[in-house]
Amino acid sequence: MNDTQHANGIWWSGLWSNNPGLVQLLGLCPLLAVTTNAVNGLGLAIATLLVLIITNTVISLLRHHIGRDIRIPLFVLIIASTVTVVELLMQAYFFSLSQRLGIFIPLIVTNCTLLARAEAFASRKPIWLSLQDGLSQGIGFGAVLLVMGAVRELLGHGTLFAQAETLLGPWAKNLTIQLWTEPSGLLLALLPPGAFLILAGLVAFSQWIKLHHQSDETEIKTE
Amino acid sequence: MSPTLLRALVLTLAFASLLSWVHTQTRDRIAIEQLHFEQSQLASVLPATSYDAPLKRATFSLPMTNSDHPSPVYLAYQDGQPKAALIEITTSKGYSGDIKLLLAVSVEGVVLGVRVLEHKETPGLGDAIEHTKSDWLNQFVGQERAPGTHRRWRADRLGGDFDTLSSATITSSAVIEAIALGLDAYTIYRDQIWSSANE
Repeated sequence: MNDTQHANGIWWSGLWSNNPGLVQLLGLCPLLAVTTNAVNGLGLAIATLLVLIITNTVISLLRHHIGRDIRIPLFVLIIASTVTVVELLMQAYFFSLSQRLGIFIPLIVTNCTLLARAEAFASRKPIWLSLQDGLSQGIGFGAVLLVMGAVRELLGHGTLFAQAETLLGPWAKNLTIQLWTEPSGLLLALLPPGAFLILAGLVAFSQWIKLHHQSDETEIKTE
Repeated sequence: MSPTLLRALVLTLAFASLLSWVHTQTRDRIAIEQLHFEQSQLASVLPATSYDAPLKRATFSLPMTNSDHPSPVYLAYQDGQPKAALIEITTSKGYSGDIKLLLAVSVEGVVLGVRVLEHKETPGLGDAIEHTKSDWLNQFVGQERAPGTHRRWRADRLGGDFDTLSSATITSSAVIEAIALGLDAYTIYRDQIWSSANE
């Protein structure tokens, strides 16, 4: 397998076939807790993507210096240090952004996706591929966060991208879409049980697409 | 020592020094940014034209009957005259976790404004205590704890005078009680608060 094919495989895997949110079911704690609306989902998506790219790259860079026997504690050390450095730099140089993403950044440490990618990919592969793996897994996870947040916000509040200005700045006020003005939506969607149900729905939907797709392929083959 | 362990030790030391270096580099900037942010938060509860910036932190902290930790107080002046005291109140009686409020009172003890600084209430129900989500907090403006009116300081669903957020009676009651306690503490310690600023 040459490098281009390899890279294509990485993107396909992170975005769809081995998506951290839908297939590996990693990082459920932040996924379920934070996605009460689309803007929160987007906030956690950005923060996770940023940290995942850095940890994957750093771990790949140091992969020859990490002994197999004690790799897990060292991965945790690297991930926790990276998250702390990112948090400090954001507070110092992008304070208003850190106020908006602030609650999400410490949550990333609890995200198993980072440890899983370190163990399964970055500790075995060259830097360039690990960076792409971080990007594709981060975007794949972020997409699930955004869809979860959007569905829950639509069902629960009847809006989409409400309070986008708190994350993206004043220009984003116009992004908010109000579908109905009924004050009480489906409360279940906003509460933790609703989060599990909607995630289950998304997983089932993605599996259905995969099955559908596979049967198409077999039909073509039999023809 | 085995080479694996030695390398692990070197990595640990390297990351520890990186963290402490970043911390010393960013410490001062973060402190300044945080101060700006706190001032703007404090300011949002009062009209910007009604006092001279910046607010002063009182050296006296307000003892609260609902907490072991005294509440920080900030003082607002206009042309050297006392205008308002801003009191940070934390209540643990919310539906989930602590609710941190900022209460602005006039020198006489009348509510000028209330803001929620932190909370973990249910999204869609209890989070209507945020001023960006509903105007529920506005009902407290102009209220005071006059003698003989203490029974009024309850949610209307519990026989008081204040509007209750729908399906969030616990949250509403926690906020109402916290404001009442803050006003009571202010009345008791008013002289200490204002004289502590001149020390």
